[in-house]
Amino acid sequence: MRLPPIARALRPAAVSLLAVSAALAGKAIDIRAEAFKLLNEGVAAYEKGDYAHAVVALSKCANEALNSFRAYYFLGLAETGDHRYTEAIESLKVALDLDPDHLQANVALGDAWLLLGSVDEASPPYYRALKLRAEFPAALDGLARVAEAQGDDEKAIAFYGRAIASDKGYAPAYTHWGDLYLRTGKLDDAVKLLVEAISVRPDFAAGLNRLAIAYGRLGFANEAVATIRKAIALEPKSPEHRATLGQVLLGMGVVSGAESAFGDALALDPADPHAHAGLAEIARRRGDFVKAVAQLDLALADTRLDRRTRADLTATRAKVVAEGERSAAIEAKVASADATAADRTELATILAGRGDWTRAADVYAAASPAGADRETLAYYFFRAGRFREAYAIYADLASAGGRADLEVDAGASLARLGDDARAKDAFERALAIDPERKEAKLYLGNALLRLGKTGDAIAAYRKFLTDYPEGPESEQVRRVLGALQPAAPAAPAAPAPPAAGVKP
Amino acid sequence: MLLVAALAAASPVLPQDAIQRRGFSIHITAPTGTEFVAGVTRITAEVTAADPSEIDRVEFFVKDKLIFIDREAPWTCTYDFGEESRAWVIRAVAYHKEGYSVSDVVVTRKITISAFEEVNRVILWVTVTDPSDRVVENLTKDDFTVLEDGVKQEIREFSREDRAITMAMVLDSSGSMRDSMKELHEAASGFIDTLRPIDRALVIDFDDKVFLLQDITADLAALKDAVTSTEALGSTALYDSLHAAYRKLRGVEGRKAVILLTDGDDTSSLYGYERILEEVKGGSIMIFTIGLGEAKKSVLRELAETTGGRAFFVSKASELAGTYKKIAEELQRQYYISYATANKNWNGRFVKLEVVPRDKHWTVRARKGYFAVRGGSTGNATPAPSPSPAN
Repeated sequence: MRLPPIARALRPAAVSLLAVSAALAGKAIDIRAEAFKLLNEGVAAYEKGDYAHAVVALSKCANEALNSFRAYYFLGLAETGDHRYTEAIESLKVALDLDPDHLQANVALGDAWLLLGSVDEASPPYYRALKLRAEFPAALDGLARVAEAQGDDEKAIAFYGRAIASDKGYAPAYTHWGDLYLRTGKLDDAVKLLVEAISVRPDFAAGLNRLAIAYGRLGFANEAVATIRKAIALEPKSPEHRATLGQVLLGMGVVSGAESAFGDALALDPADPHAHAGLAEIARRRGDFVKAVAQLDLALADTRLDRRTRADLTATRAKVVAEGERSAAIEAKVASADATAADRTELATILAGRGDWTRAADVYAAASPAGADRETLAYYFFRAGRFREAYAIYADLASAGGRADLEVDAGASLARLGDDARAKDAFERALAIDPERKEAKLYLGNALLRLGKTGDAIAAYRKFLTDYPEGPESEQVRRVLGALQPAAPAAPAAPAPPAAGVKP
Repeated sequence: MLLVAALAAASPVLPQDAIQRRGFSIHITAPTGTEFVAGVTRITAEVTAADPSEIDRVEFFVKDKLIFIDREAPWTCTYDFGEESRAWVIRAVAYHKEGYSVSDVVVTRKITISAFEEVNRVILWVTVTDPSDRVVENLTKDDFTVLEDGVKQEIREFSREDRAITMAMVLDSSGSMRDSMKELHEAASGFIDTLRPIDRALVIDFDDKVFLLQDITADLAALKDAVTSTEALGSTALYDSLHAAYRKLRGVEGRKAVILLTDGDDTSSLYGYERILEEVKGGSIMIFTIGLGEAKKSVLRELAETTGGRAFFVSKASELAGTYKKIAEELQRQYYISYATANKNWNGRFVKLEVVPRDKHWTVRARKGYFAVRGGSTGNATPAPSPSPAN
């Protein structure tokens, strides 16, 4: 048989390897062979995102091959992926003992310290990496996260900017910077950075995950779901993406879908804290506080939790316990007809926080709110899908004149009732009061479109884009315009006015 | 992308951007990145400029905090890094009178301390031999004086050491050992037979790779199975093997020893000699070395003597059995000494220890010192008095 060129080239090496194998016998050769196999198995599992399996294989390997840099390095990475930060630090320290000048190992050690919450310990390895290679983007990105952890967002942004200036294709810096904006509520800026992360590296699942969260918070449900599904397709074994899908679906009110997604995350990692927290939130919304607390306790039982997540979960647990106790006390008063208007208002707030808009509206209506408080009642009606009752209040309040936001809310309620002609009038009244009212401009285009006045709708959308060229809504408007302009007479499916725009 | 570009452009140019700019440069000369620091330490930078009078000032930072502004050469200051062993980020930024700056950064190392307890108790295991190289037994506390940097210390505990010992048997299986393997297997097996039921050992085999053949156990058959399975192949990663043995023994309580056998010098370690020497100085593990044939004597002697172990050199593999027997005898006839150190200056220096015997003809082996660094405290570093404080 004629061997291919590579096989011919390798044959002498293979023959000598076999000779060596034959010469060696017993424990020593078994361990060498096993360590080699475990290293390959562990690295392959790590690269597939199967961190738990990688940790098992690489731990065994590192305990046998005591000066294998690759075994300790990949073990440290896998342990970080599996949230075992203390172990990761020890493994990465050994890797760096063996190769102190390894750039990525220094960065990985900084990352592990940072995830453990030891900010002071995280800086030195990042600086060592910068000493080895000036403006190394991963090290600058690490120092940015250190600055964030120290509460210095301005300095963090400066480091993120430097990381990106050093390597425009370094997706993690865009993602972490976007995360900073997500945390500080600058959602539009967050989306821009996260979209940039994905454009420089389309297969960057962590970026897709954060982008999905940003879309979810902006109320762009379809975009959020599509984005997180891409992340899941890229990393099917990551529980984090399934938990994010659950969060997005929960944000959309699709509770059964969310429950299923959290279940999928727990099937991949029975201790995933975000999935437990998601199921706790579902239980809370259902008024099952005992189950919610139990679920949070399961999340907190995970010893791998990083400090920030543990603090967040602990705070959530305290809130749930307090809410459960307060809710039970007021419900008892309501049942015995002893509840005051203040009690009902408080209970309505709790119910609204659980997404039980129908009961929130009924309980609050029974408190007979007056004046400006009726706006809140209108909002509860709107969220409960009781648009007629919502419109009645908004229209009554708007009749006093001078408030563009109430006209927008009244128009949105009419739009949901299918009365686009009167909705259009309401949006126009809003613009007459406040010509810069962003939602009014957008919703006016939507109403015109649904009324079949395509030309007017296109003009309204174009005006909107002129005034607001950037932002997620503008992207949506561009897509609608793109569909409208080639065949103007045919009206496409109408975009519904986003409920999120009704009331802040 | 517009947002990114705008924000990136708005980012301040941080001082560590360049260590050299337009013939203007800075270099931190002390401490260096390979050192560890503790206590009051001098930080020194070298600044180069075409016209030195154009240097406006040098700012020194520790952990991103400005600690000192120096307005005239030499560019230096002192800082109290505390008693804790940790990695410090030290930056120095030099400003030119034209407004631009250059900077350098040094990250010091954290030393691994395993020899020192927080209660300031120093523990020594001591072996005493007479001029005929026989182990001297039945000595008392009064037969010893312990000196720390020349200062006598009060011995608090003294006993004949008969407690358990945990050992790492580190065996060279590089290619040059090929002709000695049979004798090595027999000698190492014989040594294992000397272990008492309370003793435990592990087996490490090294060439250019270092493998753990048997983890810590008291199972003599398993240990023998491991030592007799080694085969000669490849080059010599001597320091890596010692580093690995130290790692394996680090978490083990009580008396510990490494029994290292090699026939050559290190040829392929990733871990350097200076680092391993520092590690053995910072630990309390005794190293017994056996140099066969062409082994590098100076290295093996330094490692052994620093730790209170002993270096043996044999020319033929047939002499290995006797050497292993001698090591076993010494380990089983040691003295345990402990004292509360009078040291008050925890500045990272190596504190020299000396155990002086009453009889000047005796030879005493004990570790040579320890690093004056706290193991687990949280040192609170504060700026030291400086000639011109930061403003």
